Amino acid sequence: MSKSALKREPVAGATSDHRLRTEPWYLSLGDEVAVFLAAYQERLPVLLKGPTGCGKTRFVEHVTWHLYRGQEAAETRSRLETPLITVACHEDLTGTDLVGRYLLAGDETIWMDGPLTRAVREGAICYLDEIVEARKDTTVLIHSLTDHRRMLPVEKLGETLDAHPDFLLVISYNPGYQSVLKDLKPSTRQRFVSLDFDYPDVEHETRIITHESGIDEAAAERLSVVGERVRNLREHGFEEGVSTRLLIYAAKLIARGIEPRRACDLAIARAVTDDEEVVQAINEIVDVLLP
Amino acid sequence: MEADSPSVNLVEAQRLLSLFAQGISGRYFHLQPLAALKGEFRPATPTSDGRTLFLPEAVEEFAEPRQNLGFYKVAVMHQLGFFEFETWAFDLAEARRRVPGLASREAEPRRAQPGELEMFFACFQEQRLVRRLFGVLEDYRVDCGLARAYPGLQRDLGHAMAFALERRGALPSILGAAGLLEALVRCTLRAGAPALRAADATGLVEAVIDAARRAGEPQADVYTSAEQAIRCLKLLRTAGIEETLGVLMLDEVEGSVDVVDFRGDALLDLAQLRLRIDATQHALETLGEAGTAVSPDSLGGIIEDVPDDASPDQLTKALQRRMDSDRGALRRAFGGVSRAERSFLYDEWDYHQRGYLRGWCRLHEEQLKGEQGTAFLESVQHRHGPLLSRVRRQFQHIKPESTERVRKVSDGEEIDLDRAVEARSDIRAGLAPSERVYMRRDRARREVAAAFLVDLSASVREPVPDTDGEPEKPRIAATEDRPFWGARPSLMERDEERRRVLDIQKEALALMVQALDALGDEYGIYGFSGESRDNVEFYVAKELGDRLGIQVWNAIAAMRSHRYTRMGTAIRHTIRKLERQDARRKVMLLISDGYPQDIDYGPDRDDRRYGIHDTAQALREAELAHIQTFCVTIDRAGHDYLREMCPEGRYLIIDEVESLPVELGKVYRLLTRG
Repeated sequence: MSKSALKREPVAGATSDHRLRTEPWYLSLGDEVAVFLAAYQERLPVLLKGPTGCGKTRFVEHVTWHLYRGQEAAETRSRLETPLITVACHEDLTGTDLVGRYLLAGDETIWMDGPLTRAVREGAICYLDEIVEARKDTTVLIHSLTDHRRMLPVEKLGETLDAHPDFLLVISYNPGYQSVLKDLKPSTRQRFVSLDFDYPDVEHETRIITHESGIDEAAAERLSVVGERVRNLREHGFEEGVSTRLLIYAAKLIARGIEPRRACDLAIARAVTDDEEVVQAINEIVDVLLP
Repeated sequence: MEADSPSVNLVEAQRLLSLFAQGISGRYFHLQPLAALKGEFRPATPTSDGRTLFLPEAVEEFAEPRQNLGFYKVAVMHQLGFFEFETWAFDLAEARRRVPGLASREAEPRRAQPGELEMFFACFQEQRLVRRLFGVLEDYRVDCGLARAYPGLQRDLGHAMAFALERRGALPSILGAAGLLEALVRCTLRAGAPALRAADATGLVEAVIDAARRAGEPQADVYTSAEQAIRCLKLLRTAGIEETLGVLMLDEVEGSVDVVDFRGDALLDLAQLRLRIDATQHALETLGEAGTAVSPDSLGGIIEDVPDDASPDQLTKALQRRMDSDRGALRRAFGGVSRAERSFLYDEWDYHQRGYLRGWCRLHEEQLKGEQGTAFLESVQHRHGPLLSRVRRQFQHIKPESTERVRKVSDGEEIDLDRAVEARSDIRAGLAPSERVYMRRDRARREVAAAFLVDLSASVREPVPDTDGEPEKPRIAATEDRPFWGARPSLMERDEERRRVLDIQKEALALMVQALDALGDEYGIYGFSGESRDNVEFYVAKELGDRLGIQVWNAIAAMRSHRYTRMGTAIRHTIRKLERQDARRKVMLLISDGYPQDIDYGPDRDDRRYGIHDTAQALREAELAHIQTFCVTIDRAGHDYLREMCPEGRYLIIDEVESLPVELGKVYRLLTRG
């Protein structure tokens, strides 16, 4: 294969580019924003731990916006077109997918940067979501980027990239979901500052549901209490409980005119389990909680 | 719920109600029929001992199944309401500060170590009446709280109240104490005040109405109910004197007025003891873990009548006395104190009637705990070191046999020729080729979930039968197999004692566990025994999905023999566990030493066939659930019943008990090979 025409093309596939033109709304529940910004100042990699649908991705978007688009954003960062590169990791995701590969285009060979390489070059934040799902060869890349070296080996190009000064690696991890066989090794975990996320309490979750769906606060509060109670059943086949995301879905359906109990049946009960008795129990819980 | 009948029975609704209760409250409650109460207290209406909800076996009062289920929901919510609205937080010292006139009253409890509510009732000569008045007002406070917190419950609650009021019939004239108590109950069922006033001949009904109103206010707490109960007692005394009823007879009034169906007749003071037992247990565990001097204050005030400088031993004894006293009180009242963390109802197959007995058996699940795991492991390694190494190697060899070729990938050891040709063709055609032109061999996940179900009946404590010739002397493991911790002379001394069947079973499990850990299969370790259909005991040493750790070894070491062998119920419970696993292959290995039997396994205790048929049916249910079953037994006379009980070819009789560890491994490999 010829290297005569090395072209670097934009990434496609399992990544999404976040240009962040508007500030993503995020309700802070503690000091997580301040901690992240402090970690960023030191370029300390960050690990977000928490169940699905509790706001980890929205948090990353929010802090990225603050760093790259906010009033105090450095000029170099504010000019970056794609400040956040998110990769949804899965069991077929390899180091090559993250770093890049050669592709054939007609009679030419072009190099395509992977999402991680792109972030490293340009100084973006790279967010690897559910990192333990990815193949083990991704761990080598993480290690070299998350210690004092801050470098990325690109073997196929025969070069080692020094990370852009603005680059930061963020990963997420759901300790409740992964099986025994899939776990972050201590040598990996100890390279990150860890932030724990969980579903918010009723007061905060009500505000989130209200904001995201547009329903009134009283209805949002009821949905949040539904979530709180249904989470008591998490041992019955849905270990993560009901996510805030699902409650927002139910709220959005209600805002569109779907009867509240029906909305909860579709967006909550039947989303978390296929066990008909558990579905019925959830619906009975919803029934007593809603007006 | 049967399609043609509006009635709802507890067996069918049990799981739904249990999930409902757990979701609402965040606590697990056992659900049992009222008929299960075997103590002095046997009400006909719902009640609770603080851990178990006792409900009617069926509800058929209403025309629609939905309404009958609604009655169950209201009954459950009412019992949960005592937790949510903090009835159990009642503290007599706090009540003396808050309730006028109580500070000066001395309590005269009828038994030692009374609870806080018990002490409160004991401040009055008419203890039973005060308990009843407090109960009525507290019931109402809880219901008002439920209606506010659970707007969706208002419909069913209102329905239940209206029905309960209607069942009380026409309101009689209120002439004395009994009439006032009836008026109070009707107030709490939202009877109209005008009708009560019109029936009043005592001039005291207005005050009773006001007492109920205050208990139902949003700001009311348990001390409000206590205060209004004392107020009502005074009103009843006044009415009683006017009727020439002596004060000593006033206590009889409490039994003259019917209990409200959906609220039941909760012995609130005794139920509070149940919670105190849990707190005492926790305190005992804290003491056990602390190991050094612990002050009574640091135990959260659970115990007060000990000196501040009491030693841990003194504290432990005092706590144990407290717990024994509370358990005794509960046992007398309710007929039993469940120690199990979970309980479940299961059907049983009656081969005489060729049908299922619905909800016939109650299984109690308990997590095994202990502290001898390390010593047990050492013992196993000492006795079976070379065998363990051999079994691990054999199991590890299973893995490389199961690989699968994955084609059309972008990263692999070989070129996928078909895809490569396709890619070349695409290039010729001017199209961008796919990069997935390789293939690789992946180690396929075995996706096996296995449950080991061990018979822990009394017979397994029997010694292992003698073999011919001299008994083998215990060996010290060879150097390369010597465990990290080395051989221990004390274990060798113990080996000289006659080993029991249970010891062999535990060792076999230990070997399997270590081999399975190397293999990566998902597995659970369970034991079962029990006595009677109401008390099938199910012990969890390792749950499917749990990691292997010292707790698992402690649990296996803690396995001991119990009583009988109601196999069918234990198998059905294990099926439920395996059904929840997302595995391609599911297996259940039953390790037993005899045929299924129990004191009431069938109408005729001497009829072995009943238990065999029920077990056979349970094994068929497993097969229908795509669970492969296998029975390994050391009962040399087992052919007769095993042929009938087990699926064809799915049992093995082991002649030499000591070979159980090896044979179990062989069976497992055969059963789970791909």
